[in-house]
Amino acid sequence: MTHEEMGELYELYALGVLEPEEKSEMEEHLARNCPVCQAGMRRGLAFGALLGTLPDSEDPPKRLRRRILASVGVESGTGYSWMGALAFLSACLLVWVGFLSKESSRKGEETERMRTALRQSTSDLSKVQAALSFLNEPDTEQVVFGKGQPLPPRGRVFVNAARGVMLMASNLPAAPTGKIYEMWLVPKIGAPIPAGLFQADAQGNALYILNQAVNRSATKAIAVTLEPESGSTTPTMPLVIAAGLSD
Amino acid sequence: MVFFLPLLAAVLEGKDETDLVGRLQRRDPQALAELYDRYGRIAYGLIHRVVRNAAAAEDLVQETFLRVWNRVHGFDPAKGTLGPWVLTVARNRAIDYLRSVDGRMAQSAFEIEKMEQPSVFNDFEREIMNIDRVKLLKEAFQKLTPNQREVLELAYYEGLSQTEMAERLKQPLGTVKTWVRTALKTLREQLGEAAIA
Ligand SMILES: [Zn+2]
Repeated sequence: MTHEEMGELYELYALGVLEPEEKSEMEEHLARNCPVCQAGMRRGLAFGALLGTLPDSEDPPKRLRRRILASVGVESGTGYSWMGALAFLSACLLVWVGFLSKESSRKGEETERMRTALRQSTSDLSKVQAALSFLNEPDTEQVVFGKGQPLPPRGRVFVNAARGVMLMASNLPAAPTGKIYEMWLVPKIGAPIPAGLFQADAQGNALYILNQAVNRSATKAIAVTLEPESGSTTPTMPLVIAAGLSD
Repeated sequence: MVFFLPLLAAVLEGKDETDLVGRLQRRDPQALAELYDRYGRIAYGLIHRVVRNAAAAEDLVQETFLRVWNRVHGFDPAKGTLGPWVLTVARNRAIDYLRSVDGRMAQSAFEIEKMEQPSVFNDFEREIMNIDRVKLLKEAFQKLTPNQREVLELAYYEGLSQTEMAERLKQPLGTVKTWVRTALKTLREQLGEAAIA
């Protein structure tokens, strides 16, 4: 292909929609620093970015801003008697703490069991993929909550310092109208940190992933509360889920 | 279509972002709030247009901003502009989601990721997304024939290759290629860009 024939392929390449043969040819040029193709690709990328301005802007729900900020650990001011929450947490002796075996064979079985559990907890394929990749991280640690409890909810929390926190829960009562579940990182010192909002499905299952590095050693527990739809900056008691992490 | 242009203008031609990038790189969460206030509406509008599902759009906007937050260290505040990068990440996250839902081309996830590395956006001219160009593009887009517009929309909003477009539209591949070529040529001319010779 001559450069002239490659004319419109730069834009398509930048959009990730080239056919495999065209793509390899393009990448060959780029790999040997062909100046024409590098300029073409920059033009293609710029064009792709510019196309992003075509749809009308749209106001996202207000809670989204809070959710995004919560996921990087933006803390709110004050106003929370959270010594009370710690006392409540300490009382949650039903929380059972365990670690994933470091042995790969055990881990494989565990992953397989998780895979089954996951399919039951969400039908959203992309979430299942995200969850599986989370489970496959070497340093993921697991906490089971609600074990032995006759009442809901039950489930597991997975914590990976680099990746974040994944919560799989079942038997969650449907949140009342206007309410939503909110996850919290409860530090050893300081107020609980909002860690994102989620809903349970009609069967009472929820799979929520906080994609953000967590300060594992400073975190005492993962908790969940019911909050108004836009989320809160401090948890509203009682705790729906409390999963204590090992020291 | 035109009513939101002043808003967009404010975003695209607002203050210098060097300081904002610096604060993002220092992990200042307030900077993420600013970034979101600047680009959240555009990103949400774009992603919602692609996935047509409000709940998924929220997840993907969150993923977009977290991705930018997590990768901003590779961004050169002296040279790069955030807008094109944020919009590219937003569009690619949405396409990646569409493809995973359709079970299409899982292997391309990696490919599309290459196009959203911050370093790729380091050599951008600051003017690439100024309001004049946005206006020119909108006008030019309206001048395309319905077929030309459709193929560009299929590429951009659905991530279809030309072969996939031909199947979708039940048209010969050659016809689709002609529409794509002509459409891009028209837009390029309207944007005042020289063709690659
Ligand atoms: Zn070349």
